[in-house]
Amino acid sequence: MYICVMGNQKLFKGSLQTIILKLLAQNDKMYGYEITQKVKELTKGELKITEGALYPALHKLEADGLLDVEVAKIGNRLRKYYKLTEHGTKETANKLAEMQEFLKTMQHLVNPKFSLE
Amino acid sequence: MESKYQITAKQLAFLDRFLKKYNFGSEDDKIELKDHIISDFETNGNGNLSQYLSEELGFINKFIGSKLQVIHKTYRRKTIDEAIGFFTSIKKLPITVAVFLTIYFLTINLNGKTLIILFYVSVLSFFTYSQFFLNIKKKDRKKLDRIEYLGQEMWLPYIMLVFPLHIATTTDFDFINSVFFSVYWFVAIAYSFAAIRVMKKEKKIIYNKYKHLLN
Repeated sequence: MYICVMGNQKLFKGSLQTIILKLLAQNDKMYGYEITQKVKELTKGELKITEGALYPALHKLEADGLLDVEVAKIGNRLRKYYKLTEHGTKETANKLAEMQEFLKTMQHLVNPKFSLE
Repeated sequence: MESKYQITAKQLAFLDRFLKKYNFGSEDDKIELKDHIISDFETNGNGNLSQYLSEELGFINKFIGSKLQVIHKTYRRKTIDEAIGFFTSIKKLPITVAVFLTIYFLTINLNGKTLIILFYVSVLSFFTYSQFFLNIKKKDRKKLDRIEYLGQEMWLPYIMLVFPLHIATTTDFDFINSVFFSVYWFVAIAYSFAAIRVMKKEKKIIYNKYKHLLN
């Protein structure tokens, strides 16, 4: 399963990378499990990112040079943190702008009288 | 994040043995996988690690598989982009044209046997360099998938070595179109060169990014 949502999961497909980038832009650095929990918390359980979807997305973003990694010793184990690179910060702004544009267009289509503009 | 359970030293040792026994990925993978398993187990588990691991086996396998897929795809895309750059970059284009013309000149002027030998020497030189002279330590390959799969894109030139061998043993070389052979030789060399350039660039990035793991 890609992302598990209480509503229609198809609507959230394709937005996973944007969600991850946005969270990292707000939180400086985060580790995988923390991202899944943060999304759950922010959406009050409406959206749950499965680990099977999260890690491939993180690895892809890292391979594309959008994320940097940092390893720190936490208690009895090592933890891999992800943070945005300079390129990743720019790409986050682009992806968020794209998302806003998409939402605006959808708003025009779905509810023309109460569009965001 | 609230933990309802704290993993014990005994369970931690069991997890280490489990990941080692089933050889789940490189050291880098194990760091991330182990941290995820412990975090989730401490938050949602019922205290039985063995049962938890059996339930999560699907995810663990997928974790490694999908990561390797991402690495392969990324190297392939970067190598293709690098090769395309030989034609689209104003700086590189004259060299690209000069190399192709040299290959074409050799193809129309040399006899079949010499040509096949030259083809093998040139492509194998790139291949040997990529596999043995990039100074990548054997122990580093085990630590990081990104290093282990760094030379994978040399598969195409390596496969391309088979066809001329087939021609040399079964067909008279005069039957082979010289333009076709020039393009074939050129693609093998260009792709090898692109793969080596990507390997060098990636090696530099990896050793800088993962110095915590490799030093």
